[in-house]
Amino acid sequence: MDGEPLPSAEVEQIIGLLEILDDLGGKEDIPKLARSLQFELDDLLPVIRAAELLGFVVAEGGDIEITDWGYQFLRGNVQERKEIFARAAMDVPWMKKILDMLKENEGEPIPKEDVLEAFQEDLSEEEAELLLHTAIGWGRYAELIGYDQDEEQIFLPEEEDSPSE
Amino acid sequence: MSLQQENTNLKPKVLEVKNVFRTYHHEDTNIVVLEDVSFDIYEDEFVCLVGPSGCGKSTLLRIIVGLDRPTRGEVLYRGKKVEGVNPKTALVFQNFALIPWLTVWQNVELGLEARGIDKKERERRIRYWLEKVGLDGHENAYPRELSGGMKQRVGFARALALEPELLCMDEPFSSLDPLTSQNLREELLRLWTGKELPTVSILMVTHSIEEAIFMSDRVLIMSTHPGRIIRDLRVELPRPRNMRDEEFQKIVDEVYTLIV
Repeated sequence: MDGEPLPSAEVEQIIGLLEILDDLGGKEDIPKLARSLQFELDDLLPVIRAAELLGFVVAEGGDIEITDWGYQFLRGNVQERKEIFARAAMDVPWMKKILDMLKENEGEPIPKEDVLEAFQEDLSEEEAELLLHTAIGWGRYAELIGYDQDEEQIFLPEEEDSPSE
Repeated sequence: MSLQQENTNLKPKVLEVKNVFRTYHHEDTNIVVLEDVSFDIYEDEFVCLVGPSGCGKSTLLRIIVGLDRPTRGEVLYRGKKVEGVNPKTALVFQNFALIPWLTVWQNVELGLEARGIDKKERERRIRYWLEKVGLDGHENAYPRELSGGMKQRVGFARALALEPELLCMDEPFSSLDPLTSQNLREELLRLWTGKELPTVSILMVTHSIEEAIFMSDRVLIMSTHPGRIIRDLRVELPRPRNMRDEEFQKIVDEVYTLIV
């Protein structure tokens, strides 16, 4: 499949990065940003890459800058942010793959194992696990996919989510 | 000047801490953790207690919510003495304090059940607060599946679902990485300044002066051994504040000068 693995960045980190960039006037030198946050460059780069993949920032020549789409996301309230994130994440190849598998299964839940297996056509077992973990985190936040830990199944969330009890 | 030391608040008092002492006995000696601590919190105030570790600020918070008792002195809530856990308060913990074998939904529900709230009202509140803190979609997740930031969102939802008048937080951002903590601080402030919280006042404990100035209307600075309040400063900086601009840094410097 096309596309690199999803960088392992949590949704909060992506939003935090945008908020900090906004405080800095929308643009910053990446090494300087890492230093001022006392954050290792190795930890910061996946977050930057994730934000870039979602179209919220552009990183070029050692600088990072928020895009208009990124500002639109940042200015939204909690629900608007989720919707914008969902629209952006839907087009990320790996997320698309999961959504397509669910669609092929007519919206019925699919076992986590099947997704891991599909991912392992291109990735190692460890990479596939990490990727799925990130995809579930993003998918839950964006309400694109749900995950049932007890059944180890990925499912499409209902419109009005009812809790399991 | 953006820092004022006199308190001219004319709003009703929510909390009065009056000459609180807390001592522990250890091998024939008395260890004084808190010494003669007094302050009030008014309606619509966001107050931060700042001090180094070991200054007794977490003990003070536990006394305020009624999980611990002062050795001497008293705490009044809306003029009445606090004895036992105060149902008008709720606490957010540094390490989330979630129950690992319960889902997000069940973790939030537990505190509501303990307060005898009926099922229908529990469901309404859980749904409402999970959505407010951005956790809809995570109802059936277990804590181990969640990032630190998501876990602390559960911590907020659990506290807010109790609809506390005084929300108390003990270092709620300090076990999160710098990006995640920035995100959660801003989201909490959005709810607070947007008047979306059920809460009339917030008391937050932190060891970070920057964080205190960023978040609060008033900063109480504590000394250590024994823990006392040495400064009571009002932060007049307009919101939204920017930790990275000059004016903010000037106030941070002023506070450091006052306490060193």
